[in-house]
Amino acid sequence: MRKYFAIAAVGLLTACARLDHVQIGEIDQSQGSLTPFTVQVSEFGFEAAAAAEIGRIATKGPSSQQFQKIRNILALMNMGPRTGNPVYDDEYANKLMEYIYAECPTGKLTGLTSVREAKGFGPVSGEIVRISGYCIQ
Amino acid sequence: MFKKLFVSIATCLSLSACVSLNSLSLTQIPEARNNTITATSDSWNLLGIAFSNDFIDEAIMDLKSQCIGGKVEGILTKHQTTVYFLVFKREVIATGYCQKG
Amino acid sequence: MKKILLLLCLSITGCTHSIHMSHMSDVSANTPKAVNINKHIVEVSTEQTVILGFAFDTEYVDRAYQELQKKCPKEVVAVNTQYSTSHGFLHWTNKIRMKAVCAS
Repeated sequence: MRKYFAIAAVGLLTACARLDHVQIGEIDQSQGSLTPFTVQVSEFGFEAAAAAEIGRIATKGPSSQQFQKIRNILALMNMGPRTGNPVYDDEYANKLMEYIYAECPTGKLTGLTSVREAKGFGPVSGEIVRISGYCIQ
Repeated sequence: MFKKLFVSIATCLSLSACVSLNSLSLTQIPEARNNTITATSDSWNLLGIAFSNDFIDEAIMDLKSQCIGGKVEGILTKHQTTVYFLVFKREVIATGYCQKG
Repeated sequence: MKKILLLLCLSITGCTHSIHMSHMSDVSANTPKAVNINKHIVEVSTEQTVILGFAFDTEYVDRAYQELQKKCPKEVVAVNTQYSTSHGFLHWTNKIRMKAVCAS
């Protein structure tokens, strides 16, 4: 019972929104009126080793040991630096430039802000890349 | 026990000077690329414990001083960390082009 | 059950990635109109494979910078820089992708 309560408490207390990186560009308000826009792409992030660890804590005996072995295998097979939960497709942010220009056909942009953030719950999250800015009319 | 200690030290030393990239950015690159300037600043921290990030300003001042009266464009900024035995070196390397006149 | 779990592990391993940052630079007045943008887009990608954490330089970043300038001798605007890592078994691959508009 205490174990489930602990898992629930940890789950509830995990951050729901996470900010990893933000950069703000120059803002030019002297060229004309500004129309704001935002382009956002996201991908499902899943930390399999963390999920296995939750399984290990939530179970007992041989099942717990199985989850421990799975966790160790997953940790070895997916080694490397990470920002947030790993995703299974690293091309989800490849078309950002095209989307930005679709929002602003004049091509005149200013105040571009690049944000790398995530919204999630424990080992599951949406890994987001967001570019917002202003289109000069 | 000495064998374990030796293996640990050997592992730590062999992983020394391993560098990892933290972040990078690139601004717009001009057509005229004759005058390349580079500025580097670093901060050495024991066990990675840092009390300020003021070393970044040194890179900016250095870059500015190499292009007095001009415009610095096409700036590639790298923030990287090199790990030595118990000591971390945080580094900012900025490379750009100085446009004068 | 063990074999199923093992197969499940192997099927979802070694194929994860992580985008650390995606940065968009400023856009100058020389940028082409959006209608013609596809003709002006240049893209370079460089990688560095790291085994067990052994990496002694970040030269792949400078290489991407140089290659981008080679691909576009004119002004390079609207630079989108992405830094990501693809994970693997005891190794990973750091990737830099620079995508920009070549103003001509």
